Amino acid sequence: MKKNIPYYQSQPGATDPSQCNGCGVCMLSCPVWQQHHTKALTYCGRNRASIGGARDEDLVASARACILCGSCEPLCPMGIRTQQATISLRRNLSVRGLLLKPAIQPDTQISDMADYSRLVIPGRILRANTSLASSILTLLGQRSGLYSDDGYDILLALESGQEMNDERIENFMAPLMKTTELIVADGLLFNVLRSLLPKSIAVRPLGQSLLTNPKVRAGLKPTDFYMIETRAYNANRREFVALYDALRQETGCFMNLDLQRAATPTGASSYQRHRGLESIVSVEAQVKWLLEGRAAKRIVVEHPDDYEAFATYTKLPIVHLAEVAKI
Amino acid sequence: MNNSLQQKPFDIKPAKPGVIPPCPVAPDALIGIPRRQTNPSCWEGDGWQGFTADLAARGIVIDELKSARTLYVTDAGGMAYGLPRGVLIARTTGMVAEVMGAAQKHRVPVTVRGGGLTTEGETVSFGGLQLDMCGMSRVLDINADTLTVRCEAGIYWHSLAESLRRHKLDYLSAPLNMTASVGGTLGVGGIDINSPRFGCSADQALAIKIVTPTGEILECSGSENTWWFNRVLLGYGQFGIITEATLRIRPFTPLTMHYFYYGDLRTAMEDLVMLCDEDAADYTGILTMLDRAVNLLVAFDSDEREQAFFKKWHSRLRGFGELGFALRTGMHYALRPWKLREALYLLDRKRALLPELQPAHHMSNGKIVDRTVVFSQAVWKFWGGRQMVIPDLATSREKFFEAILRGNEVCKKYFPHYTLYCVGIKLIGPRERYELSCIPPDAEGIAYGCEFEPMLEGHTYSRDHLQSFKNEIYDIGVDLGTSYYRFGGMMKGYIRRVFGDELVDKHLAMKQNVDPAMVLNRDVIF
Repeated sequence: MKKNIPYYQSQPGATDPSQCNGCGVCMLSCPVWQQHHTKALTYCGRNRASIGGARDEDLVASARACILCGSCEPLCPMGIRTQQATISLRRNLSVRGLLLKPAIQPDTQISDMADYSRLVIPGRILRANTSLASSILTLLGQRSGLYSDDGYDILLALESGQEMNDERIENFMAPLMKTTELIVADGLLFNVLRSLLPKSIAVRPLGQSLLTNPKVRAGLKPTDFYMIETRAYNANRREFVALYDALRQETGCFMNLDLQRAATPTGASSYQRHRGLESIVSVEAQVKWLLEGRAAKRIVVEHPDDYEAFATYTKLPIVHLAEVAKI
Repeated sequence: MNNSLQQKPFDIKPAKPGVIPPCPVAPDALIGIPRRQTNPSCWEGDGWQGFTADLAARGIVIDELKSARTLYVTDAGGMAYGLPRGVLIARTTGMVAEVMGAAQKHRVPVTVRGGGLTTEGETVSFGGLQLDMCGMSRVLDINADTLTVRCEAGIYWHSLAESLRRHKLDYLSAPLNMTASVGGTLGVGGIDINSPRFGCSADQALAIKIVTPTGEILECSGSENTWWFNRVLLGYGQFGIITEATLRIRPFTPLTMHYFYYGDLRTAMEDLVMLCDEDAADYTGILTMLDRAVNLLVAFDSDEREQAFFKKWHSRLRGFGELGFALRTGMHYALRPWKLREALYLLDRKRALLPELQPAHHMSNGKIVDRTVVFSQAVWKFWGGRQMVIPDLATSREKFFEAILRGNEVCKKYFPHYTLYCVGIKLIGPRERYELSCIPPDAEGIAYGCEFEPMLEGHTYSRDHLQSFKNEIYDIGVDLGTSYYRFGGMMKGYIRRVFGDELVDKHLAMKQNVDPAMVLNRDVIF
């Protein structure tokens, strides 16, 4: 593994950001745009300013404002990988000391993963919730196991544009190469692992994996508000939209999809819980907007960060997707 | 100097003071047009310090950072480039009023921008202040009983639609591009495929709040400040800045879309006119791929209207369904193998474009759920680019065929592939509202418009090529006495040619009366 995580680099076939035509369509689903209506703080604004001659250091506030929800990405008619481009900008700024860096130590619990053909990377919050983690493994079926390394430090490094230590990356990736199926709770980590691991390893988001279980689908109600994990969905909308559209039609539930069928985020993420990294996106305003005009009686989330966001700002019952099958 | 070079027609000779010579670059561009400098002077930065200081004293800070200004360097057209001296994101009507008061006092030009979807540089600042209205994007009130919405004018139609849809409502009529702002659209007209029924988007405005060029705040409607109401709507930003609007809305319904294919443009246009005249469909318009592949679309909000169409009008249409058209077109090209390339192009368009017009996730039970999202995405994907060239003509019914057929020939001359987008536009408001607008003075009942949209297909064309193309289209308008959707910026030289001195001078006098320093969107029209 190279020190520069390849995800940062331009992907084959990706459109060069300099080809941006400034249409502004990418802003339509952007939570930063929706709350602040300041073009300069959006991907479109950063890119247009850059094309117009602005330097990276002129874009610090804009780079910081982004919550990497990826909702701009599926909207771009030019096919620009906006999420990657923003991470790349953060990396450039981070290298020059222009962005704050969260200091996080890896949290690994060494254990033998050899028995599992399906590994789940649950993230730090889900892993700490042993009851829920156990439910997830049960729903996913036999030979499923929790990965002992939560990869939280890698996720934060990705979000903040920090470089990772080679040895750390190698230690994280090595056991994953031995599995046949990898299920990832965090969308950004999912996007990265999917781009890095060989095609022989099936990498799936946690929400979609759980939805393959009929008991989970049967547990969803028309009065549920279903909160899709945004980062994996938005980066892969063309591939995932049919699944969620079918689910919406099958269950009648509300979803965090806008008119463009981009997934709207709560604005909550682990990264922004660190001091000095707080986003200008108000989670409260996002939660209010997500539920406006939607007569939901329960919130169902795929990602634990969203659980906390709704728990803070609504009085509705909130469950993780893995819990609906039992209710 | 070499003598032969001296005698070249583009030789630029020194001008005599006080005399504007023929344009040395395109000497035929404005023949016979009296040029006049209507603005008091070319703005050179005078008054800027006082302007910004006055505003700063009121807590309004202009952003002069390069990274903020370069965002506004061009518009959707990508042909005109300019930089503002500073940028301000409008947040309240009061703030806009303060800005205009100070701008008038210090004679600083203010260029207003919403979505920036102009194509002739109308929203590009050449110095002065860029006033970005997007900071005023709130939905203020949705009234399902009266079917009206009050919103701030910087809001994009997409954001308005998002809010309305939560209440099972929808806007009535908006451009097929969701990054257009409500205020910008009301200022220029706004055309939808339901314009044959509802007129321009501007005609859906029941009331507007404006800031005049001198900084006065006015509520305007058909019964209050009516002069301002009819001047600011379709007024190309010359008479005031719209900060809020009350619009008609409707209950949301998905729509059923049908396509009819024609091998001949004129026949399709005749059928379009028939459908518009007889109010046969809720939505209708023409989109062409080639002369041999013309698509007339009809769409319906309700099953009843759809059934009525099939009962009464369907048999009168001379277009074919997809299968019938494919068979006929296949036979046509089978007998003309030398046109294989053209046939392949059509096949490719069918393969690429048609699925984009009915993506499964925007469909429900065979109906399109989000028509503007679908069309907006397709517009940017297939016609968008770093340059967008969309000259247009708006005509009376009598001139429609000749104007568009002539425009079609111009397109062929300049580009291998292009699309014509034709719609009808019903006259809704009082005539004076349309004096300098997309409704030509000789149109009765319904006007007809056409956008000529070349497919640039990643090719790089020179600005001269693109401008020459536009000029030839606009020249048709001058020749036939039509009107245009677009007026300002680089095509303002056509305004006097089309409307004549008397009408333009009347509007110029009104402009000078309400904007003595000529600071609001200066150089766009006059």
